[in-house]
Amino acid sequence: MKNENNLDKITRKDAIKKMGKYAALTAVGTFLILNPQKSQAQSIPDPGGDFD
Amino acid sequence: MNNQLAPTYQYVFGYHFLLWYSVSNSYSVIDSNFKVLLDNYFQSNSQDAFFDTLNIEEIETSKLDVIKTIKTYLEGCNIPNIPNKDKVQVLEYSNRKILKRYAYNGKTFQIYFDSEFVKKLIHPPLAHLETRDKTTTDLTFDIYLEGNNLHLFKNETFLNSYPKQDYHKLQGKFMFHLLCSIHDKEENNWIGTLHGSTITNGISSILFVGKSGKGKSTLCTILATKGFNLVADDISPLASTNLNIYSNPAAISTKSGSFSTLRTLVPNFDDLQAVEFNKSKGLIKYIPFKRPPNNHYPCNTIVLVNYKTDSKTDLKKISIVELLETLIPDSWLSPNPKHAKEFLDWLQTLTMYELTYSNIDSMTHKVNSLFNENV
Repeated sequence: MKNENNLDKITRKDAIKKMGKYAALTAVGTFLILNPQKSQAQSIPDPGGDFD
Repeated sequence: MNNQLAPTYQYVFGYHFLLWYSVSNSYSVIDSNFKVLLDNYFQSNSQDAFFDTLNIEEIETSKLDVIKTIKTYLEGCNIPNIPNKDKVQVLEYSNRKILKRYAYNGKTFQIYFDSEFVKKLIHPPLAHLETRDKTTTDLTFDIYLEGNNLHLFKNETFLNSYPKQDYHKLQGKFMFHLLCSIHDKEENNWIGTLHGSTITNGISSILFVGKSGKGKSTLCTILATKGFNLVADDISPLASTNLNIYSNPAAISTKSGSFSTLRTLVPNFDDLQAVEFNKSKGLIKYIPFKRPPNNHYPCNTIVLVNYKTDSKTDLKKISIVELLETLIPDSWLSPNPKHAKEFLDWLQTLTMYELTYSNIDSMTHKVNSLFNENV
């Protein structure tokens, strides 16, 4: 663990606010799991569209 | 308990902890309350020993709920990351109906397409690199549609197949292999391909990220007309070892909503051919810019782009959570632990901002000041 002693203290309310919309809110804290793409991909300009 | 489910790497970012799980290649951001519970869980030899560490009054929930939450969380972080294996295809030479040749960074590459339809997926952003020189060929791609599947070959070796509707994966994989070749790198020399566009002032670079429609490409086009160099649009490759972002030769892809703004900035904008990718998407123009002076630049600043009509230009620092929830789901990141560690180390060197803008001059001024801060 790096810099563990430097962890600033904030309130739980602040933490939840900072965690953003994907955070799972539980009575025991907040967490967020992010999975990168499994393969390289280009962005889709218009999701759901076919190319013909 | 269950220490085999513990994260491989753990980093502190301000108020949050960022954990990486090797089995799933998942990144997880947790708050300090949850971190304490997780540490106690792993350090306890039994469920009862873990319960003894809990101050239930403080966390306002039952002990069993706490352990259930931790177990559910750890299951979510430990779903094995199994790469998809495609059925190997044999190159069908009769599909070589259209040939295009390109040159970049001293390398010549050629692509065979089976139809105009498939060519439209790959060629428009590379059209400015087309060459008539036929003396050498460093790399050959074959791309064609068979049934509902798009097949990709490199030097006559099968790479991948994609269902037609996943054409963006074919585009990404093709570009990745092209980047390997033009920068003399192997596939395992990259930390990842980041979903974002990169601009340089000739010394360092800034990566601009944001969801589709938030104005990344428009912003980078504007900056590339204001004295900065485009390094990469949409796919910004981050190399292992030197942690630099490398140039991506594709032209910037801009949608019709930005045409009126860009017409006043990009010389001969109306002469650029507009491509109709499909009926619902409308027109796309690919704007080529000259290569940056160097092939790669260090990057210590990431900006989350937020174009908002009539907004006042505002640059504010953001947390790792706000950045990663945009950056990670749309990027490919190598599952190799060495690369994950390099990515985490790189994140620790970054300053992260959100830039809200509508005024071009004021936005350019802000970006300029960001580059100057880096010096």
